[in-house]
Amino acid sequence: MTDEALVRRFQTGDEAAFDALVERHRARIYGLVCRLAGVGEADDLAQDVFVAAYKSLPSFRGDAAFGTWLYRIAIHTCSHHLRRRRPEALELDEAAPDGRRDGDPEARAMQRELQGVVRGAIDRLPLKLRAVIVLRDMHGMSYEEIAGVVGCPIGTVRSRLYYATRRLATHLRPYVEAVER
Amino acid sequence: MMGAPGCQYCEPRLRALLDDALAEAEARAVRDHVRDCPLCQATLAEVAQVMSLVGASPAEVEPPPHFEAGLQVRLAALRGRRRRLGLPRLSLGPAQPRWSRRYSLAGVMIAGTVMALVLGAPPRIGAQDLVGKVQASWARLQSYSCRFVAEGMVGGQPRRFEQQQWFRRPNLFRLETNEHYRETTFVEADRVTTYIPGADWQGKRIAIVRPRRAREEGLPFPFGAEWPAAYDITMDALVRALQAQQGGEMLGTEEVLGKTCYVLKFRTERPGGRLPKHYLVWVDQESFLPLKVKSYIDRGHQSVSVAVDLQTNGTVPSDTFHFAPPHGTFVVYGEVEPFVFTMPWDQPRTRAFETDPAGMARREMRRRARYLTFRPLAPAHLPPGYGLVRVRRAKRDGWLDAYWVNNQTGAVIKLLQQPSDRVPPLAVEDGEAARLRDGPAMWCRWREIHQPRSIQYVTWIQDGMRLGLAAAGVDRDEALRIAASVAAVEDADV
Repeated sequence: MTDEALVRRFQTGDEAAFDALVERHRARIYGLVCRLAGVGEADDLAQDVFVAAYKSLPSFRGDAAFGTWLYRIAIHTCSHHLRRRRPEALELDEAAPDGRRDGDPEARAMQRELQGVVRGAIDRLPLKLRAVIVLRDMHGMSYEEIAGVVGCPIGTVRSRLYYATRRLATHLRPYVEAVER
Repeated sequence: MMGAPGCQYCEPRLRALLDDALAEAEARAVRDHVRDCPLCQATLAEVAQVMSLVGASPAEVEPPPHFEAGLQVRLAALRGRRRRLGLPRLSLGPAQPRWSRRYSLAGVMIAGTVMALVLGAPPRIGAQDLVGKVQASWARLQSYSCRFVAEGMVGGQPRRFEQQQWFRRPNLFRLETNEHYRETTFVEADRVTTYIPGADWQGKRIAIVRPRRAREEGLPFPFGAEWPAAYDITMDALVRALQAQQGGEMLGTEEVLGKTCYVLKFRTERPGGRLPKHYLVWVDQESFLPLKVKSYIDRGHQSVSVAVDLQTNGTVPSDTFHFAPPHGTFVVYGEVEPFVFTMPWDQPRTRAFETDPAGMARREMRRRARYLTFRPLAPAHLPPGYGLVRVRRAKRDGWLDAYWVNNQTGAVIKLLQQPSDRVPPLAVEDGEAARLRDGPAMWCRWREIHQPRSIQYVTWIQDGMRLGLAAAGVDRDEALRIAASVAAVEDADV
């Protein structure tokens, strides 16, 4: 069943439809919140996202795809939280299981280490840059979709992505080396 | 635009160029400049590398178990209120799918492929019928063997992968690669064995046995790839994709590996507003099994996979899937990866590795301490018979691990440590709570498995580090004894 169908069901009284939407989008929203606000905040903030969605869904008109709308709520929730909180998000790691074989276990270990470094570098970015790079490179959104989620023109998305990428390049340049043998 | 654009114009557009987000004229101007500008070429390569690195991080993170419970508690209050107040009723406007713009880029790519097709006679079978026949053929399949070849772009990087595959229903696989060294993997019902005939562990070949997990990534038929599973195209995933497909369209017929195939085009939507995935599948007209699959998400994520010499439902000897260690093979079991044994060792291996495995581990950690920002911890107690294999560290302070192996039984003990502020807290899935030691009390989480043999798992927080012990060949009490003996390494100046 599509997201739109589940939304319609919820809007006519089917509470289980909302639970199905949560289950479908939970991992991505949680992953996004981890990246934007930190693992330590993710539990509460991700719940805040779904609670806000629950409250607003009765009046959701379908102007955007449900997933895009949910991402928008997540961005606003994290942004609001970080503005209030100060200082910036902590460095973090995440609980994503690494069960994927990469053919070469050594390459897999190197990949894990490097992923930790990459995540740390992303966490050091200001929120506006962090959001676009996460939405584009991790969540696979198009420039248009990102513009819709973060609420800015496509040209702004383009320039933020450029600056985010250049900053990451500066952070990551010395780290792309092999794990010690 | 007056004159050819220079670096100042092009450099800020390099990212958008790789994202295919520039207008055609703009993109052409930037490409023309980059072709002749080493500086922008270097920047472009760097941008591509960053995109690949970031893209390799998973977007999804499964929340801890208590998340769902906490959310339901919060929703319960709202639901009660909603029931009391009555449900607000709104009529939705018509859904506005936004897929058309996203398809334009993929459409160009697919169209290019379509143009290249040699169209045979119009197929007399519709897309849905073909999907049904593929599903039926897959359900009837009892075994297969093939040489699987995949090429494409993963995270913006070119990749090629080749593997010999055997499969027998319901769940047995044998996979052979020679990508970095010869490696054969036997996936049996309850265990996975990796055999590396070229490894040399004290003059012996190595085989490593571990439990088969409930979810094993990268199991193929015949379109799996040992790549990040987001791009995995296992047969089951392909069948599911076919079931969920939208816009399925028969394009014609084409020969693949000497067999006439139907060519089916379809796409699958991905949740969360992600770009959809586009497929071309070549299905053998006789067997109704896929022989070739082309998938496309964007320029940096596309692949072509081919099953060469595919043989189905033939006689596959039963011993194909069961690993019988050749004479002279050292079989180890536990939480260990093959290259822990196969990596070159920069230190001569001395007798002390066997006679003083705890002391040697401390020495190896001390040697690495100057690269760390945390003080490493090591066990003071190890059961008899376990010698140190190696200590490894991540270059930039991510983690440190150590391995010991019992050279008689092959049981492996692994200790992994990471700064606890960078990893999630201990969770119930780490096991049941157990006391590590009294005065002051220290608690841990413990669990065990017995498949194929006993492994004890102990996880705990100590001195700002999260430690994980996976101990094969010992019982619970012994594992807790090892964990309780862990202490900071003296003279490890960080």
